[in-house]
Amino acid sequence: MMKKVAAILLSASLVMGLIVGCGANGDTSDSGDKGSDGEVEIEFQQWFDNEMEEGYLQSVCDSFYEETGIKVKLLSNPYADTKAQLQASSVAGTMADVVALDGSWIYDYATQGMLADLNALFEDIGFDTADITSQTSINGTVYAQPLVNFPCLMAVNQDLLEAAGVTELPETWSEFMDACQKVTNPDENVYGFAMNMSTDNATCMEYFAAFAWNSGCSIIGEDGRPFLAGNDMWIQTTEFFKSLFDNGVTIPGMYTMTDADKVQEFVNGRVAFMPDSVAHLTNIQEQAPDMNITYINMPHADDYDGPSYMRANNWACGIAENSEHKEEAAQFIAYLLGADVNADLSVHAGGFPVNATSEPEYTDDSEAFQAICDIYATTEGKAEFYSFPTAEALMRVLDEDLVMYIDGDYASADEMMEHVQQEFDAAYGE
Amino acid sequence: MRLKNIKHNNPVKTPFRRKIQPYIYLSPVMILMSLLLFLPIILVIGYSFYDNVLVTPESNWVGLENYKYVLSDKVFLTSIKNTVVFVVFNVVFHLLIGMTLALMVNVKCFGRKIKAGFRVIYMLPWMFNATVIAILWKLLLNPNGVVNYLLMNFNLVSGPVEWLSERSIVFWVLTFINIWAGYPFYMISILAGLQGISSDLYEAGQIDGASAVQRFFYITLPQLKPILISIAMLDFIWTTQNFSLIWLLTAGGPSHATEMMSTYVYKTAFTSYQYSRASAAAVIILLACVVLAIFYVKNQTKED
Repeated sequence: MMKKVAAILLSASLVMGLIVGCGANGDTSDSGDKGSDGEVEIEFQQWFDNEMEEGYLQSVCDSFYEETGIKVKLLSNPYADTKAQLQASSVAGTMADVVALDGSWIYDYATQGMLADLNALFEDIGFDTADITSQTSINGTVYAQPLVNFPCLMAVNQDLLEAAGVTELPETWSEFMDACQKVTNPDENVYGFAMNMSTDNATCMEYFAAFAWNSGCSIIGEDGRPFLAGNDMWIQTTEFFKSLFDNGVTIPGMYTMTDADKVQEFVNGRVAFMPDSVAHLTNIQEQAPDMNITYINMPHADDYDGPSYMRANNWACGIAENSEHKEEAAQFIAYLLGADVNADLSVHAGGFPVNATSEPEYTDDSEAFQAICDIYATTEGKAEFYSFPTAEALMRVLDEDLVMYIDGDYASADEMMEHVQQEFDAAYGE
Repeated sequence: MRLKNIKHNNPVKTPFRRKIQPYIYLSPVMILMSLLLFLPIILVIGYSFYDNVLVTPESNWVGLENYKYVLSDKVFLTSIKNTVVFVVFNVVFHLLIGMTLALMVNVKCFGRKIKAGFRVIYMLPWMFNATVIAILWKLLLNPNGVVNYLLMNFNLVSGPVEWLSERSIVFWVLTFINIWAGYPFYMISILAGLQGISSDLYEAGQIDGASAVQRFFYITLPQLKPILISIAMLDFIWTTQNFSLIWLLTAGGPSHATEMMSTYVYKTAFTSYQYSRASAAAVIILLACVVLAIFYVKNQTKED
């Protein structure tokens, strides 16, 4: 009898456990919540914590708590995992209150209704954005707020240039090709140029586009749609990029090279030029302390003499539309944008503040960092892919077709871009 | 003689109670299975009939449109072809290598310690997870890696080979790596089967004058057949679903040279946000796996 009762009780408790466990409402435990003492706790999902000094971001959150009484719970994941987790949590209605955003995700997340209107929230809490230098808007609404800017430039191993007798840093495509050819020595395993082209993160195509952007090219047409086929400078850039392969100055293995692989090749002294985010500078200096490094902007077309442009990149964040504590989340972002906090955050992240009144006190006095500061001060950032739907998927198409063009599967750059244009147009439902 | 009057504690159960009782006990597992296994499958099948889901405020029924789109997509067809070739080569070579190594580590002429040592060494690839395998082979196959260094030093190649970037060879390199990563499962399973074959059979064969080759084909293989079929079917299903290793090594590139059905589904869902199309592709993979699973279950039932 006892066994039977125990069995029935066990079964009942398991069933109840299931019902209670699976039926839990997202309101109770998902995103930020009010504790028993009335304190508000918000969640901040990001990859920044993993890329800064351990404990720094938590200390920023602690300072925010002391100032406002709002707790911030950090949900830290590697960059590669963050996107999938955001998408999954959005669908499940459990998205964190504040979420880190990569530029290539913003259009899609905004149009899917995942993100809240930031400026409206800033207005609600009385935060003035006059000193904030950049905001990301889609169709006129601000959905993402950059916190730290990271220009993407061309890292240069000056030791290799010196050994090859290259005395001037290249500014044009011809000078760049010439320098790469002088440096390249396959017998010594030294090459002129390395760029990640693995489709695991197709945003690498922005490095390719930066050759065109800094030559005055725009890939956004007057109608706001992609303008690739028939875009002369874009076609010339594609042909120039192929010529790097044809002249044998590119490091072997570029087609499936990841960002980390590329940096490793640079650190190992096997490549003279590498387009890269300046966020990697500290890492490069640590791994190759004796290397003489500097940065230049991406070389431009020989006959171009207009303004300079560089690939813009940043750490941005947004507020989940399903957040129950949007105002508290907005207060947290406003705190991160404060002149002093933003300056300190930029120093720790190795980037540049978005608050025009911030005065970061950088400790890096290297030539490389000074070169970055000089270029950043005089160059406008571009990130045109980010205004396209499914930007990452489109960049992947470009990457795949570029490989086919370099391998000779397309007769010309025009033919290749015709195909890429069709794919880009298809993203608009045509 | 008086019969002792036995008092039954349990009243006589009605037929209904007798029938329902096992299901009550099974209900927790059945509910769990339904929620965690069947519900997602049903949802994904359902999604595949809508224009798009999850990321759109409204979803419209489009019938088989997503299947038509996916099955006419050149990239998906390439991924099917790649997956089939990848799976067939993997299963065949896993089987051949696993069988060969199992026979080698089962021979009687070596001491126990030597055999144990080799078993551990041969088992190593099975110990590594996909991330470790990917990093290991990326380092080995890097244009400046050990493999090219050896090949160039022995004058077998004139320059560094781009093992993971050259479109004409990358698929076969990936196949090789997956074969290397998966053969120990076969080796151990077959070894266990070999050790379960009665030595009487071999002795009888020897007395009848059967050669070693004849003993292998007429005793060993028939005795191992149930195990071989089971592991081959499991391997077929696992390799079809392989994603991590492919993604970490080539991400399906360059230019779809290593595109598999799994990478196609991932890209369609997570970078193009076409969850319904991804669901349709996933359902096609599911159907292929279900067919194999039916064969597997039938085979298991027959064995029982």
